[in-house]
Amino acid sequence: MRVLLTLERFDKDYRLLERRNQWSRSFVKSIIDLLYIQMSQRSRTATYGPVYDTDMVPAYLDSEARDSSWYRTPAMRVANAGFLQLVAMDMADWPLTRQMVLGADLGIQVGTGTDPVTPLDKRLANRIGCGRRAPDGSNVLMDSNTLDDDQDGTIQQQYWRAQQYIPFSNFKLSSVKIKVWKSGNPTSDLTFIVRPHYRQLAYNTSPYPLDLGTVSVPASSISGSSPGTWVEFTLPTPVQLQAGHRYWMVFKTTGGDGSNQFRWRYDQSGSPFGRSMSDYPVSAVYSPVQTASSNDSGGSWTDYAGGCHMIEIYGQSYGDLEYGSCDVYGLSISGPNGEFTVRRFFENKCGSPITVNEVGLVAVGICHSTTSTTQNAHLIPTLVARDLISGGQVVANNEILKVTYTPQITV
Amino acid sequence: MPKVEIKMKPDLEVIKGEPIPHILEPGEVGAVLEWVVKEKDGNITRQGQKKSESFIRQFIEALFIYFSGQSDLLSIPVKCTDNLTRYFYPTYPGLNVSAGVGADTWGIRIGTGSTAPTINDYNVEAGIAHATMNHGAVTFGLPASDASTSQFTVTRDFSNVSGGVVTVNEIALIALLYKAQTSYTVMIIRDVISGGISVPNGQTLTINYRIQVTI
Repeated sequence: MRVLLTLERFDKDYRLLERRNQWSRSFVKSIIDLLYIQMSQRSRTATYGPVYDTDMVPAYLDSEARDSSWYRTPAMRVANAGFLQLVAMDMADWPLTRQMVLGADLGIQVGTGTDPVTPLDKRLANRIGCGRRAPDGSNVLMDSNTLDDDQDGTIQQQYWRAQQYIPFSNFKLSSVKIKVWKSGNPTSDLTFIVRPHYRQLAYNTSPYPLDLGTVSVPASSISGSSPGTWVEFTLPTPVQLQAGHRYWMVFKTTGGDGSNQFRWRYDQSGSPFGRSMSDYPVSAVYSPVQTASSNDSGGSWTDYAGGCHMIEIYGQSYGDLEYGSCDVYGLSISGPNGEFTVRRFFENKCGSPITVNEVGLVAVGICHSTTSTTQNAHLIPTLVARDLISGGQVVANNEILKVTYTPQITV
Repeated sequence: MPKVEIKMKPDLEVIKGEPIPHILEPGEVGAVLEWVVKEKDGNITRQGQKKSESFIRQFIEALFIYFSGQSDLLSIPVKCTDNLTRYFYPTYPGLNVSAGVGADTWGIRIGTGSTAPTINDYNVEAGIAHATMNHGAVTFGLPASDASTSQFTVTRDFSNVSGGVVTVNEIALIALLYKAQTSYTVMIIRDVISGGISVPNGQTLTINYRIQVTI
């Protein structure tokens, strides 16, 4: 089977401006993983993994069947009905919204990255977000929670603290500022780590121990008096954050004790990031923002719903494209040939040209609880293909890009 | 007649550690077909390898079903090995090829037919029954990858208990697709081996389908 990749560029009146075809050379190991799970019928008690989601967090998948009276999203699905469409694992369990992913996160994706394709790619090198945000041109304040701090969260030795964060748009995280002070005289650095969310856990969730980026600030640069000052932690390399995904802003140190510690200010009862639950994507409503603490150096976490640490989040958008639905259609068998089509439209409404250098395809994998097929099931968005576009494809403002994958067989 | 024993679990670990064959073209999604004939003491009497040439229409239809996540309102017609067309949607996980010992209608199948494959084939031309060639359980080598190629392996042993030489001309991969809670057999790959594979009585034929993608 070969897969033809076609990029077509249209003006706002849908007049074709350019078409380019290339053979896809991009199916990566994850498509083999998903086919293997299906063909070998891995059960929920004998899962296969790791298979990685698009935040590079490992998951252990199965092909468990469940009660046929319920609709379920099948493994390997790439289609979705629109960029805000949420693909439910199981409509019966829909309030357990961890079982959903944003429609934009499934199917064809585009990005600006130019890293060579490898079989072990887990995500686009730099995915273009879904939306209308223009390129920022420099690092700007993306989000903040700066009001009504009334408590201290302590950080010392094995006691770590974390703030969950769900971006509303794709951007590259460059730095965070937190309001912090030191009690006594802790001497070790205070270290910031940005970590992804562990999607496979059931209810309370926690930072997955994968450091997407980290930086330390010496204790000497932190105020010794309450309620502290704002201290910036600038990452050496910006970290890609995806809209609607959960991340954790983790802070730790190595020394100190009960009398010598860092204290991160937080608002115990306020509205996290100044938002209500209804402001968040449906995929997040069961716990929009959480704080968490660990007493074993990040090995395990205790989550607290509500409240929010004092934090400012800085970064830079490189421009969005509006994602249309991802359609799977056109199944055709004729003579020795058979094919179908996977298609997505992207419209540039961000005000600036965007250069697409990479195209990918994301499908879902599924994992269940070991004790039930009806609960605690999770959808894992998994990159199954990634192609580079030689020279890039510029999409001017108000133009439309149509990306098509056409799997073809000939016998 | 020599007594032949089918192993419940063939020696998959041998496969796992082997280099990944590179037969497919860059960008191709396909399979490498390998066959090995062994005497009872393990001596290899013949072996071969070729690019599987024939993912057939039921494979692309099944891939369409799973990529699209069709509901039962938009079921897709697929011809089953009994030559009946049924309408499938992905309520149940399908593409199951994990046939057990003695299951000679699905998993890896073998036959004596030698007609060249076409995209519309829906079953082996002339299947060989378990009573002639004992069918072991289908087993799997775990997914693995190197710098360019990813694969997993589907393996099955067939032991000749017929009392004579059996010539295997066709090899197929037949999966279960589910319609509600009932499974049906659907052929997704069929290959014909030029000249056939001669399996003397008492010897075992091992078939590997290495499902691969390359970049």
